[in-house]
Amino acid sequence: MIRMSEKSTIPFGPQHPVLPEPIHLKLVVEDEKVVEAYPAFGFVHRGLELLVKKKDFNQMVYVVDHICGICSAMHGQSYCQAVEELIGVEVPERAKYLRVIWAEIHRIHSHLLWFGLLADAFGFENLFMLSWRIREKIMDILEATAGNRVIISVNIVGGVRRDIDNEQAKWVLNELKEVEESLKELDKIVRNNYTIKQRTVGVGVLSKDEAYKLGAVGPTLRGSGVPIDMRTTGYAAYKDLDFEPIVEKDGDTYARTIVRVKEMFQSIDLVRQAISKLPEGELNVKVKPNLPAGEVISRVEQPRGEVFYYIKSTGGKYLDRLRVRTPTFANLASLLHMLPGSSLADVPVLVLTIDPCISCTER
Amino acid sequence: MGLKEFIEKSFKKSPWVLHYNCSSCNGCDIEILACMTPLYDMERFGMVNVGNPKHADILVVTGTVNTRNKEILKNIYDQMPDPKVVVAVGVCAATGGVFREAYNVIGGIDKVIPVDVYVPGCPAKPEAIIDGLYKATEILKEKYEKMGKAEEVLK
Amino acid sequence: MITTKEIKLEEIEKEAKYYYENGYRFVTETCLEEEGKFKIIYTFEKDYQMDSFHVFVSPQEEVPSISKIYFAALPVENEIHEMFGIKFKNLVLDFQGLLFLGEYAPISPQASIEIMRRDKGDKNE
Repeated sequence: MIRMSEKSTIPFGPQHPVLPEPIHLKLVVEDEKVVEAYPAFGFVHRGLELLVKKKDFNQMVYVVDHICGICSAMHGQSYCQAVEELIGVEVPERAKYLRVIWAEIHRIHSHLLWFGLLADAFGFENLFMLSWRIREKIMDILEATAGNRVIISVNIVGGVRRDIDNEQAKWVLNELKEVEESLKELDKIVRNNYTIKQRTVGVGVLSKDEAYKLGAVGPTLRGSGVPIDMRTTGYAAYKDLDFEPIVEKDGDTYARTIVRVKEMFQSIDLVRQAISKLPEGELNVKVKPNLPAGEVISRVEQPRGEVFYYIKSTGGKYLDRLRVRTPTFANLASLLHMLPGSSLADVPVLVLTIDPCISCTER
Repeated sequence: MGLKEFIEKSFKKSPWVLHYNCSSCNGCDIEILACMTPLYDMERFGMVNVGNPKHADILVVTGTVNTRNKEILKNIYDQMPDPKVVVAVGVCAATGGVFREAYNVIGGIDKVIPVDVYVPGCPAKPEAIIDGLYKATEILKEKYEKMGKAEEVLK
Repeated sequence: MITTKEIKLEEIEKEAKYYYENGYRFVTETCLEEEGKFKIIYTFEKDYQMDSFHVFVSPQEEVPSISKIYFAALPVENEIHEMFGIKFKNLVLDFQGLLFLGEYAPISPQASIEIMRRDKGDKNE
């Protein structure tokens, strides 16, 4: 007879119905409790950082856009900001505002996507369908303004490629009004639904101190009550826009859900502000084909948290080194901290609570 | 209608789809998920997303093959029962796309398993994916007929 | 542009402890090659202000891990070990160079200085 207190190892993934992406977790369980958790990655690792040796710095924008399909606009943005700082070129004001608009629309799309997956993870398929239906409106906006649904590739070194004219801006605002109405409905469900609270309240608790020391970023950190949001550093046009980082105190999955839902409203507000202040002017400036020597760090707030770009150049067309520290990579420590002690049935929710993006993590 | 005719007739109409993400950038994956959601609704063609390779008729693969997931892809493909159809979604799955030159990338998925339908796009649009999947159902039927009738499947 | 101060290999743990006790958040470590040596840049952050130091590592040296102080450094140091071949002392959890790369992947792909060599098996099968 097998004694119940014996430890056994359960593999989770890489091909798992709950996960749209391959991540492998080796869970050591005792009874129903997870005692230890070891992640294994590498199913998505491509080695994009080394492509800097083969593609010049302008071509690399397209490559970093493909680090991840969900937050591609922000990857391009932070890379371009880093290179622009290295060259010392000032981006036209209009381009800065357009970058904000696309980034915030991307944030709404990413949060809705995550919300649907979380609902799916705890078996609330109806809510999954609902949030993805709302998301389709956002995708329409992206397609109409940027020409593609997911990877929009609007950023180039020196500005943006596309413009949003007045008529289109009006249409975007109209669509966003409808999205906001549907989001209010979603918000009501999140705040009142028994199932959601049952599955998320008190699951994966990170205290304020723990989250800070584990180097968590984004909603994972803000859900624990630490008001760190890279947008407040005022890159692009954020310095002229009015917003406060959204913070929740409880530090559990429910708090993080609330942070993300509130951030969607915040993003709509930011898009409205940006469109109302959109200045006239050029879309991009020409940059010289050769880079000066130097190293630059650029940080941008992505839907999942802060992304860190380090670039180093020794002159010439090619960068010497590109290093990307993506938000999920920073949140891995928090995930590994949360998993031991949880029950096996909560593992899918815990994995999703940091909003994992494996393509980002592995590059 | 006997059981045999019934299976023959309905085979094409209810294929089960298994989705595997090789090293994709997520772009195509979320488009495949979008196909299952209310606006595009893949289920009107009888396609259901399943997680078990032994249940699946169509394998949808996104992204390039890298040195680590090569074995897993092969493994999943081998576990699927015949007849089976493979759909490669996106340029990365077809040729390697933008990742082609990266050190850990082997190339398109046709270097590991045979591919029946290629869906172009970066990322492929949901309309294109549905088109590709519909084409896959026709190939599935063809393969089924080639395999030699329902009796052998039932045996 | 960034400026980093250089410290010695032995001082890493002391320096990291200093940052930890003064309430800095760990951002990341970045490894690159410079003049035949590896350079690791440690980045910390407090109130949106980044602070960095760097060390130079020659191919034979082992680097003391800071994962005991900052748990968040664990995946980063495993990644550096994997991509460049640099060895770390006292890692909390050692993936043995199998965090990202598979069995048949190229060894330390991002380094041109060779530290590790695969004993068995071909490079790309």
